[in-house]
Amino acid sequence: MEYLLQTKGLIKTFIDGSQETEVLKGIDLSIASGEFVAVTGASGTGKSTLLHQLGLLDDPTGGSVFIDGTNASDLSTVQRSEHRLRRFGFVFQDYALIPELTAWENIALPVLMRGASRSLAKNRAVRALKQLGMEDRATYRPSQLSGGESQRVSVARAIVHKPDILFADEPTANLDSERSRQIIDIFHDLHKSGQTIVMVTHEIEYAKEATRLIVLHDGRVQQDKKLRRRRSR
Amino acid sequence: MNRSDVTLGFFLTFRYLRRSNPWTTILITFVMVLTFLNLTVIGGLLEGIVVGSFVGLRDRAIGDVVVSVKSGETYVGRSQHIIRSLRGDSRVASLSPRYSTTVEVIAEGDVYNVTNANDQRRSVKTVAFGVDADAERSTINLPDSIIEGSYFSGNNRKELLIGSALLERYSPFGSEVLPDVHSGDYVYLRKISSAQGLVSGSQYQSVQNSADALSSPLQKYIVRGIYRTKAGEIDIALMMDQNEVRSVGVNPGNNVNSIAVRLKNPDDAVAVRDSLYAQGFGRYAKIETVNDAIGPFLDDIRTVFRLLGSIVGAIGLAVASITIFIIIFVTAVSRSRYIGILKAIGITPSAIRLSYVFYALSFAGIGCAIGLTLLFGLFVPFFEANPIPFPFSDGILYVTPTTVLIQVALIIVATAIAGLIPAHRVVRRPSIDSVRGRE
Repeated sequence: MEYLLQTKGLIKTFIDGSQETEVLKGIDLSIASGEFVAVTGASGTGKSTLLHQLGLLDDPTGGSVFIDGTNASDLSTVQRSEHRLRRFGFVFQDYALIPELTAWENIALPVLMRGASRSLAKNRAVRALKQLGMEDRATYRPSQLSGGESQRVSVARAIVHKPDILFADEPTANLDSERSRQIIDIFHDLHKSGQTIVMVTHEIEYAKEATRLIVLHDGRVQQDKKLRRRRSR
Repeated sequence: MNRSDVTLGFFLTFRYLRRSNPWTTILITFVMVLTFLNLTVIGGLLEGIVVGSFVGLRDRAIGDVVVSVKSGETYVGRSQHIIRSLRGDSRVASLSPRYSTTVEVIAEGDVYNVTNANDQRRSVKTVAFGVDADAERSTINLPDSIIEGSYFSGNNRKELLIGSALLERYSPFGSEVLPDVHSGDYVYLRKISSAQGLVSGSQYQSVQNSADALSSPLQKYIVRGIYRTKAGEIDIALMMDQNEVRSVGVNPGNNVNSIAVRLKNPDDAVAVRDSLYAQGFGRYAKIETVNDAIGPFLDDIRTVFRLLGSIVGAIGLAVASITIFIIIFVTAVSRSRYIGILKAIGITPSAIRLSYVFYALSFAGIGCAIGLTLLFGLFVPFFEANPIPFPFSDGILYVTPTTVLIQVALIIVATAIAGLIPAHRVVRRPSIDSVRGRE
């Protein structure tokens, strides 16, 4: 079977002065297209570090990440950047919106980077906002948006270019339960339309709504199981 | 770097600018305006001193082409032939033949004090030019240089115009000048070479006594006006009617001592000079364009002034570059997390670098645009209307489109480098470090 993402013996060690901390201790994973994977675990077990490795944001200390069978170590910086632009979408815990840009401008960035005209990028950004019920906030800047709205804009930016994989790093951590629910529902809708999602969360109730649950413990995969879809709206 | 990098770089720059603190934007733009003006105005004024001298010499002294006495001769040979040739040349707008002789000038009140041939404290030896008033007017526009009294009109016998540098209150030299002489006063002349002199007036007898002591009569002239051209030897000379000078016996056969020639188009100066040489007049006279006549002297000063202007400008440019460097560095460092996010979502480092370079360049661009407007809309017209009164020239602000373009290019390049270096330093950090806020 051809996997969209694979890791083999993935190791990540952080060095701080003379102290070495091995955060990932040999992770073997395979993620197929169309999966909704939730990665969970206690704090400091390497959830976000794994996500950064899968999203080519960081280099592993050992082992490999494969994208469509290609070893990411063989990719140049530019090629990794291309992958992030064309194939990946990222949602960060703190929304990570550019403060000088309005909602639609934040969302349009990946589209513009792919060479689209400003008007086309704006159209697609507004369409993405509309998909998330946010079209009336298109010209708002991040400082004018609530946390939930900011995270929805962040999701819109992550999906506007129709990525192969959507990575979400604790997307509900800064939101109240109502806003968190909205975001998780959006992910369900996206997944239903075929979007592959890898979500890191420490909130087990949301993790269990994914189609696959990976539990990390002390830098290793403690549990990796398929889940029966159990949604609540 | 590709087209998308440039497009996105512009997109980000425009947003940064639009939403940046307006006071910061104004301050940085102001620095760039000052840099531009420092680069153009200081150098332009220094060069303008020399150019002012050149223009003064051309417009108020010798014209575009000057025909003068060959070395070893006492007058321009075949003068009338040369004059006829010039008058027949369609490129010539006007010409002014000049007769000249060396004279001693004594202010009226000081005639008493000249008691013997060795006592010349109050007299000045100089050149008297005999000119045609109308020709001089149309060739070097001498009436415009009158600072006291008036220009010749009608019968100009026994009248003269006196150069300001011969007068104590105007002279930059401080010695070899006449004391308190004003328009309407009398002066006395003595032709030096022939010991012929001129004197008259209420003190005639006394003057005669003095003149006797000098074994030469003096002739009395009224000072009709005082002129200041700030153009070399003209200001240390006298202007008289040509018949006055000729009457003292200079130059046989109507041969003149020099001919100032004004052309319709100054660019034809070399062609007119060469044309006169081609007609064989080079055997009888020295024929020069104004550039030939000036020689390398002014060019050397101009080079030195240009160098001084460049040094001052370079210091200003360095200060502005450092300012831009610091601003971009601080901006980029304080935004390093956002830079990491941009990289994380696939925005290329080139696009991010370009956004900061464009950001820096926009200040340079706006600064230069405002500077250009001030330069050509305010400073150049102002200094044209109000030249800086240097002793030897009227200093103007001399700028040419070519030099300004070069200066703008220098600012643009320096700013681009000053923006690129800090942006590059911040952008090259691993994106994950920026995203996580790690230093």
